Amino acid sequence: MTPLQIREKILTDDAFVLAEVDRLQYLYSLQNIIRSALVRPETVKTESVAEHIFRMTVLISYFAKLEDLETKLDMSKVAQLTTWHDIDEIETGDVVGFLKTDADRAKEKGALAKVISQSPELIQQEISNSISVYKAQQTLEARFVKAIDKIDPVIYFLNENGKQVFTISPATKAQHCNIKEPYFIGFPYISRFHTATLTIFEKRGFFSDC
Amino acid sequence: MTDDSFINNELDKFATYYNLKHTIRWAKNRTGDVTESVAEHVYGMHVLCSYFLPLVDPDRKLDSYLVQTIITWHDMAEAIVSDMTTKSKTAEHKANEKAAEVSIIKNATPHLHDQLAYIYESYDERTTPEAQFVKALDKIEPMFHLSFLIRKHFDINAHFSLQWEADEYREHRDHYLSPFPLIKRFDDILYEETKEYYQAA
Repeated sequence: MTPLQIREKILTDDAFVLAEVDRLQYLYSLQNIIRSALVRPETVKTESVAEHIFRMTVLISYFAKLEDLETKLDMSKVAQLTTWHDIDEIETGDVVGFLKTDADRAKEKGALAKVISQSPELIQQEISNSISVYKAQQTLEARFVKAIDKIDPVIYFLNENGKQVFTISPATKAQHCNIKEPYFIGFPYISRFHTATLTIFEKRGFFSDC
Repeated sequence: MTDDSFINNELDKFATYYNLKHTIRWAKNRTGDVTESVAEHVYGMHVLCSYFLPLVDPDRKLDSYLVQTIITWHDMAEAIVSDMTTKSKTAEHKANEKAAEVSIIKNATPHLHDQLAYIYESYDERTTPEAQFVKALDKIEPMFHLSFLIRKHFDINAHFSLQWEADEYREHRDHYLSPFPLIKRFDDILYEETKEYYQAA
């Protein structure tokens, strides 16, 4: 299949999108491979922010080609934004997007200043610039990384483990959609992964309200 | 970089970034867990790339996006064959890894085939300066991880059996790090910090 044919299939064929989700989940399984001959015994698998960042780098390879962005974007900048976009969570921990309050957002600002001040001088500027660009959402690079940040959990959770996470941390359909959809505008192929999987999330009873 | 205490301070700062390996999403936790997934190792390499790439390539001759892409994909075969320490790897394991890379390429969506084939060929043979740099990061990243655990006061020997002797492991790393003297400087300090946790000679 040519990239053109793959794009056509993604736009028109839900089953093809779901098969692609399977393939991406297969690549995600690198986070289940534990190093140094250790095991991580968990009934419901957890994910670290570092693992989320790894998954985003995989999705960037995948979607940059589909959205035809590789020649239009500074891809090295995209990779930098991805590496640093959640760095304030070292101080704040992860807060679920739709539960975030103004107080949480204020805390993030202070946290970011602390993280930058504690960083090696050599990369302070890179981190600071990356976060400013990412938060401002004015460049195509920042918008692309944000869309990737939002589609990653969709692909990651569409399985039995994800269903268990939704049971423990319930979300309504509106909560699931509202914090994602605004960021998919302008990225038709990423958006299709959201719309094609939404029916499955509903049918399998992931949401607390349907 | 001539000052050991400067490098020690830098290592403290890296330990901060490595906290994202232990920051768990969706309000969950992994209390007391010291394990590391391959995905977390890849994250660590991306962080180290940000730091070391401008130092080893001040004239920006390397293709930085290629470097970042090789980092993301270099261990993907382990999704099939699992992780194996270099020391215990046999010729059969290496052949299995090679076969797994072929399988990764074959089973990927077609629009990724050419990119992945190029990545694995150049990384395995280290035919490009980008691949050589990534290999050096791959070799030093576990040392940063160990340093992170030590600095966060995890009981290393209660959890790990580091199969190497410290000097033997250092010699192995030297092969890949010697073209990069600044990375090697960090390795020298990390060797001193971690050597007591390895098997006795």
